[in-house]
Amino acid sequence: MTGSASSEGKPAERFSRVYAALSLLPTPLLLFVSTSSDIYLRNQALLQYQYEVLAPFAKLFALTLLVGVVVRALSVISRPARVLLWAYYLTGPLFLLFAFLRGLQGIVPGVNVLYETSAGLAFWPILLFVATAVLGPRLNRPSVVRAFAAFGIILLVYEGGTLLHNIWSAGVPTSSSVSPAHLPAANSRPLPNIYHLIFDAYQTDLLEHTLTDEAKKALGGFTYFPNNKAEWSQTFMSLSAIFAGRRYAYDRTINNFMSRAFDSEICVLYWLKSQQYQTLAYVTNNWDSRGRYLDRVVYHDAAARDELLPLNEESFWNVWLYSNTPPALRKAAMRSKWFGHLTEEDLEKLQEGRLLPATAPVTSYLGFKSLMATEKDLSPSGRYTVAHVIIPHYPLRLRADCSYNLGSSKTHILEQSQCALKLIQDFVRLLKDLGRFDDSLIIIHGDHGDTYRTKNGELTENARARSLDAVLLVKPVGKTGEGELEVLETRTSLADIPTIIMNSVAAAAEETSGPHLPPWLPQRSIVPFLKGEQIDSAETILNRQGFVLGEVTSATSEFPTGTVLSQHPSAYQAGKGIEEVSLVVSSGPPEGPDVMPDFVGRDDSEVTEWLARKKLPASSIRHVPHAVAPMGMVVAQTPPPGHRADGSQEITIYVSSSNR
Amino acid sequence: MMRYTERLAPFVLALVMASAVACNDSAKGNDEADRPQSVSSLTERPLISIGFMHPVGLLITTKYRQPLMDHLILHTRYAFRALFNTDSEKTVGMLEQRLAEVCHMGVVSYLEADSEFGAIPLARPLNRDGEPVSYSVFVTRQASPLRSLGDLRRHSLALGSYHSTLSHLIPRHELIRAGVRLEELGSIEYLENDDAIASAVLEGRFDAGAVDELVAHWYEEKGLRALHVSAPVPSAPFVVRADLPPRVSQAVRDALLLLDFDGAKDREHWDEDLRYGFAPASAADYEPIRKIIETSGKGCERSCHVGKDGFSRVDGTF
Repeated sequence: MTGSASSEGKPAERFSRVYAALSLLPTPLLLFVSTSSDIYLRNQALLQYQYEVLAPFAKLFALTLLVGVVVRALSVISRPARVLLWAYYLTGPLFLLFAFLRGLQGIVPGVNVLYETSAGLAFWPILLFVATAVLGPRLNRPSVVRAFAAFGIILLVYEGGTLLHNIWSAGVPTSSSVSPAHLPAANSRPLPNIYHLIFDAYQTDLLEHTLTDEAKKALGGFTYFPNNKAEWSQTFMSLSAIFAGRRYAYDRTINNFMSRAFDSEICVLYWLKSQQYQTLAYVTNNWDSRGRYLDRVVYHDAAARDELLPLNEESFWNVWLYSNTPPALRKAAMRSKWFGHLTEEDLEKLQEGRLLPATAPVTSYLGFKSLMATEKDLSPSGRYTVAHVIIPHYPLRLRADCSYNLGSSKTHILEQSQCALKLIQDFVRLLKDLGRFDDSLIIIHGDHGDTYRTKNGELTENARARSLDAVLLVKPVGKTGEGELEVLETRTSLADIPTIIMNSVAAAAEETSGPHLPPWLPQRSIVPFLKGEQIDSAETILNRQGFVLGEVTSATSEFPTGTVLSQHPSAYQAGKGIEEVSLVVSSGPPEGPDVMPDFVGRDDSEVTEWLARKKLPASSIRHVPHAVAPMGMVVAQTPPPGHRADGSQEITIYVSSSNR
Repeated sequence: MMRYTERLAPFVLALVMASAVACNDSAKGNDEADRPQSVSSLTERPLISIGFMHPVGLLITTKYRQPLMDHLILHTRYAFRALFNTDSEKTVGMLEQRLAEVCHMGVVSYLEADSEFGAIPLARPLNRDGEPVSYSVFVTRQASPLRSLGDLRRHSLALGSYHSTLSHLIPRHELIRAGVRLEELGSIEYLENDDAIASAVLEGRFDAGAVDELVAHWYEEKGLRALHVSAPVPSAPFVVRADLPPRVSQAVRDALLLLDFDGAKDREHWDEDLRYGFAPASAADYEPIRKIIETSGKGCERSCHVGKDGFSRVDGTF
């Protein structure tokens, strides 16, 4: 195919060589770059944006291109090499046809045969052979070479550009990037370090089935609460209740409760910051909007990037292999060592070209190791450190010693629970080695349980609901590691954790001596924060912590009736000598003819009547479609109830126009 | 590139077949601008999920349950949505796991929930006679020679799952009261739900079955008749977890109780088990059923509720 260029003079010859070289690009680009970049872009977040996983495909691209160059060079002198070159050129387009027809599977009857049967698979090499025989000689034409070259350039620019753009623009959520040296200075008072370790889905049954005598000794100084309950069975609802120190009270939306739990005064971190605590987090990426009161957030996958690379390379290679292997061949591949470990769910994900959910516990484990590695460099006092690991939570990838396979393999829930216990023991040992164990408050807990139950001493699974029985282990400040794990049958809740924490802080601030025992409830300990609660919830919280509701006075406010506006004594004062807490609660917005009523949920006829009385135009009513509300129900209003309706603000009432 | 090639294929095919599908959604898009600013709106209300156990299709069920949601939205400060489960175990699980704040569940399920994690009955639906009770009905084919429970000896019987009140617990109790021991039956099988039981009897696979009175009523037209009607049983309650703030449960209870029997004629588009209104419910209402379970099902955890010989110690009143 180069012979025809010889008569076109030197510059033309040079161009023809360039065209010939570029014409070799489409096949390796289509085979290795297009296929892998597509999968990478779909899974880049799961791959922690480690574009290094594409390196093997870049090598395959280069190798194939090299083969093309060699074959092309030989084609000048050898007829078989010329045939090979034609086959090389046609492999790319045929692969496109292969992908195109694959997209018609399930739509056009019979197409499946080409992928799912051995005979169908034989069609493709035959097609290549026939195409080479029929079309090959025509590939010699310079116009065809130029067309291939143009296609190669377009493909290279498109694939390369897309990939490079994504690699450069996709941010790696690493951490808030404040090195320990730049953290706020620790308080001059000897505030105890607080270690708050959250093991996701660590159900009491799981701990109890794995707790050995050796582990009980290693956990000397800790108290275990077998009757502890989580407030919620979903992670971030549960964590919200933990950090807010209260149960969701249905006085606002769940989303509002969850955001307030991490970014308002009800968050225990707010109070720790007010005591000059340094606050650090070693957590999953899901914490990315919950760091308002955290000085530093380190995400597990960022902390463990180097160790995750081989894992990601392995996963990525297998996803590529699975996605591009026809089902007929896949059946044979499935019998191989790697695929043999996969579950149905894994296979479904592979079929969709998505990465296996194999890494959450492994990433957590690696992130936790990184926390342990940095502990010695961090402040020995005045520091609050929270770690949240997806262990022993599904998927089950870790063995009892926390080792794991590259690729995928399923372990057992008890093995993964043993890994959780091992990590706890390792951490305790580290703190003892660093001399930080005795003077620290250590709280270790699950965020919720799982669908396991213990029946007749055996662990069974697939219970009808996730359990709320979450592990809670507490090592108070001042308690040493002597003896073995104690067990206290007291009923506790994860929402008690802020009380435990602030009690230790208050005791340390008062410089009291001896172990600062957490307030095993009910016992007056430390005044809780009640502002913003409904009065009934506030009373529940007070009673749980051993206080009684004192004088309640009311005042008009924009807040709904019954909302606590202020409290006396103020929050998180040590409760010594205090029995009652007085509250000022809202009596709702002031009433009067010029005050906006609450129309939401009411019928539009009430609005019409009110507007007529106020001599306001009916145009203040706007009809809007609504997914839930029936036709004629008021779904929103502005201004809100309690605001002035004296003509100073435009009044708009939104009424549902839906008619299901 | 490859993904576009694969995705392109169906579109190319569609073009070749010239089967373009018109889409008129764009006409609705203008309403977006009219959406209210979130000043005070339904979406800012706390959401209460109500769980229902219903073995029929979701679409139909949602349509007939939605009026109740609308009523609750109108008469409380909360937003409501209906969640559905096809088995009673999972409905209890929804309440246990706090996926739903309120659940409409069978009596046995309520008692299970109460003993396991604390549950409170708020209100119980009225039946077509305006009474807050239900009945378990033994049904047979219209041409069947069976005339009483005593005739069931050596005949086949279909009951519901172990968690069902009206198609399992009460029928077994009725058999004992009638002096029929289970061993005397020709055969007994436990089917998935009342519809399955009624269908199986209708198809002749069983000589009789026991179902909720509503199901018995529906199947009367199809060829079944009542063989025996049980003593009245307190109807299936709307239940909340004991730790739900009383302010919430009271609001829901009050709103449910606003639905009285007199207004039923205006609620013909509602599900039949909800349209006749509600009566207050308390734990005491269900004590007789609890006693049946306790006396007959001791040591029988979650796999059954009744012992083989336990019913003989219980009298026939609920």
